[in-house]
Amino acid sequence: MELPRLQPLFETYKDQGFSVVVVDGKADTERAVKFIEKHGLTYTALENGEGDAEIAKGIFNVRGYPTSFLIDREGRVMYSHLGFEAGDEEHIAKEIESLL
Amino acid sequence: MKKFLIAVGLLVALGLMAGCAKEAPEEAVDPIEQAWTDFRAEYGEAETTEAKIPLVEAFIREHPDTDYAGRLAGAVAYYQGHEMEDPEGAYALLGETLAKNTDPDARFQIGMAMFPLAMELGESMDLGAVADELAGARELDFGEMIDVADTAVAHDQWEIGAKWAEAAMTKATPDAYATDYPDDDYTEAELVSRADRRKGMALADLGWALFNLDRTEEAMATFEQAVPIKTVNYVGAADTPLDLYRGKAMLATGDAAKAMEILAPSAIMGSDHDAASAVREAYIAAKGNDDGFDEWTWSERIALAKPVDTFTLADYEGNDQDFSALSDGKVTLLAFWFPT
Repeated sequence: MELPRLQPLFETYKDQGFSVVVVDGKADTERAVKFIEKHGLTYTALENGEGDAEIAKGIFNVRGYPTSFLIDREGRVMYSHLGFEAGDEEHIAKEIESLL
Repeated sequence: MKKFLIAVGLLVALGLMAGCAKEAPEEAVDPIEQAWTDFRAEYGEAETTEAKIPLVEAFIREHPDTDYAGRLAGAVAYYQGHEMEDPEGAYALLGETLAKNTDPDARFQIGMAMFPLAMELGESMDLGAVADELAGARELDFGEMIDVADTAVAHDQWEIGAKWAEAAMTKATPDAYATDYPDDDYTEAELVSRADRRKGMALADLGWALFNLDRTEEAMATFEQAVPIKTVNYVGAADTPLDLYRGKAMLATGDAAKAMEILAPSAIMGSDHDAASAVREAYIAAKGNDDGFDEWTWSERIALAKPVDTFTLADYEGNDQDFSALSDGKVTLLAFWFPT
C-alpha cells in the first residue's frame, strides 16, 4: 500500500475543503505509527475498532486493502477505489475535483 | 488485470511479513537464513521501489535455488515488471531463477509470477504445466487453485481456467475451510460465509471460462449460482469479477440493458476500469451511440450513492474522533489500509 501517495492530494486540495481520514484496518498500531512518522503524513489517521466495533468490515464491508471511499459535502459516499498504485492519483484527483 | 496486480502486491507484502516473523535461530546460523535476515533488514529500510529492486535482484541471483527465491518472485514481477515498467528484465531474471530452482513450491511461485509477463511480452508459456508440475508434488491449496484460475481467465486460457476453477469449487465448502484452518475456532455460520466467499470467487472464473468455451447455458447457470452469495462493498461495488464477467456475457448475448444494470455499480461506484469500458460499450449497444453517457453515469451515481454511516474511532494519541465531525461540509477521502 502506497499510503504516502495520498499526501500530495491532501496538500493540493485541503484549502478547497478536502480532507483525508485513514483507518488502519489491521489495527497494527506500532507499525502504523512508525510508517506515518517515517513518511511525514499529516492527515487524520485512526485505529480500527475490534469485534463488533470494527469499522472496516462492520460498516463498509471492506474485503481488500487498500480500499478508499470518496464522500461528498452532503455526506454521500460517491465512489470507492480498490488499490492505490502509481497512476491512480490522477484518477482519484479527477473524482475529487468533480465533487469540490 | 488490475485486481490481479493488487492481489500480487498483497501477496508480496504478506510473503515478506511472514519472513519477518521467523525467530532468529539460537545455534549456528545457516548462511542462507542469515542472508535472508540481512535482506529483510535492508528491504525494510528501502523507501522507494527503485531502492527495493536491486536488493531483491541481488538476493535472488545469489540464492536462486531456495524457497525464498519463490517468495520473492512476486516482488520481481510487481515492482520491476509492473511498477518500474521493465517486464523484459523481470521476465529474464525469473526465467534464469526458474532454470536453477528445484523446489516445487518455489517453482510454482516463480512460474505464476512469470506467466503474466510472458503474455505481456508475447512469449509462449504453458500456465497449465506450471500448475500440473506442483500438482505432481502435492495437492494445491485453495489459494493456489484460484490463483491459477484467475490468471488463466485473465489471459484467455479458458480450459485451464475452467479446470482449476472446478478444482477450487471442491475446496469451497465449510468442511474444506475447517480442514484448512484446524487451529481456528470458527462458528458454523462463519465457516459457511467463508466457504461462500471461496465459492463466489471460483464461480465467477468458472462462468466466464465456460462462456468463452461456448458453453453458454452452463455459464449463465454458473453465474446465477454466484449471484445470491455475492459480496459487495458499502456502495455496491463487487469484490470479485462476477459483475464484470456476467455483465460482459449479457452484453455478448444481446441484452445490453441488463448488462448496464449489472455493470453499473462496479463501473461507476468502483474503480474497475474493465467494467467502466464494458458499461460504456453496453450503453452504446443499447442507445446506438454515446450521447448522454456522462449524464446517465452521473444519475446512476446519485441513485447508487449512500449516506455515510458515522463512527467514532481513536487516533494515535488515544483521543476519540467522530467521523461526521472530521468530514462535516467537506469532500472526504476515507481510506482503509494496513501498514506493511
